[in-house]
Amino acid sequence: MSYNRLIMKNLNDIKKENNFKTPAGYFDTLNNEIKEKIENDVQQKNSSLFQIFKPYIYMAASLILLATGIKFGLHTFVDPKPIIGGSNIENIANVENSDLLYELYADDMVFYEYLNDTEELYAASNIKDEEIEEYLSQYYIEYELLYE
Amino acid sequence: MRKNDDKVIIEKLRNLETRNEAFNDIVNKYSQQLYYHIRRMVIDHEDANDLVQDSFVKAYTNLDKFRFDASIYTWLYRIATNTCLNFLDRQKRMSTFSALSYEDTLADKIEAHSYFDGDELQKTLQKAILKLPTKQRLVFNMKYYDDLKYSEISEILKTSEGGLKASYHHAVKKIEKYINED
Repeated sequence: MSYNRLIMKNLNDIKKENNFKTPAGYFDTLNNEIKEKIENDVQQKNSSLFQIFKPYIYMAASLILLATGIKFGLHTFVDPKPIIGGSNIENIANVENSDLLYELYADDMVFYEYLNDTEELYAASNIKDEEIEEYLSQYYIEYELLYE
Repeated sequence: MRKNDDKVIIEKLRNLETRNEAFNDIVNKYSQQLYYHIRRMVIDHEDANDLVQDSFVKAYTNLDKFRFDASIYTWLYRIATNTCLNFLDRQKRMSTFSALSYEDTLADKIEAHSYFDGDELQKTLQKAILKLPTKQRLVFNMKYYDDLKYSEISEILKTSEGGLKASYHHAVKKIEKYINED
């Protein structure tokens, strides 16, 4: 029969006590350690967020730098009003535009005159509709199309 | 009674300006209780020290998830318990291929008198508790040592009160059997 069996029958026979001990003054420092750990953890979390976004931040910064450099370079090294053959680009553009408009206008005029001439020629001739139909049918043009 | 005490802290937690102050109050009030809750599960002082600190850090970083109508005590207990169970799972996995089981390692620590000053009967009691399955051990400690009500344990572990009563009853029977056979 064991020592334990002699002195107990059930759990209530054992004195309920806390036998786990801590180093001296442990609870005096624990609260401060917890607070310090929380502060460190929050700081670490903030810095780790920066670590995550660091490549993107650098990429954005280099793009801004590149764009600024290109803009500055263009302003410095490229003349905003280059001289070509004694006239500037705006004048050349104006000349080209006026030529183009004239050509378009001339085309319209020629077409207008052609239509007027055709109507006069058609009216002056004695060709009848039946003759035109007969001519077209001889050259295998679809009959239905003639009456549309 | 505990809930009434926490009302002031909860009011301070609601306000962002007084939130840190309120959390300091929580640490001052509950650190010792949580330490012993964890210590009874992991036995080793250093492990318990790390886990209690981790539990409070987790509580602080998850303050936004705290329901203000809940009890601070059960909320903290739940965080500490989960932290503790995760730690025990890791330790058990790590000791899978070792000669001694993790529970035997813990029993050796009790024998080695590392911050444990109980007599032979108290040591036997602790070894008997270590023989219980982890969750049964948890329920036993919360009921026997921390004097928590079944309703509180149920809220912490999200288990039915009936299941907890049965679990505690089985744990007591196993412990008594172990001690009487020792």
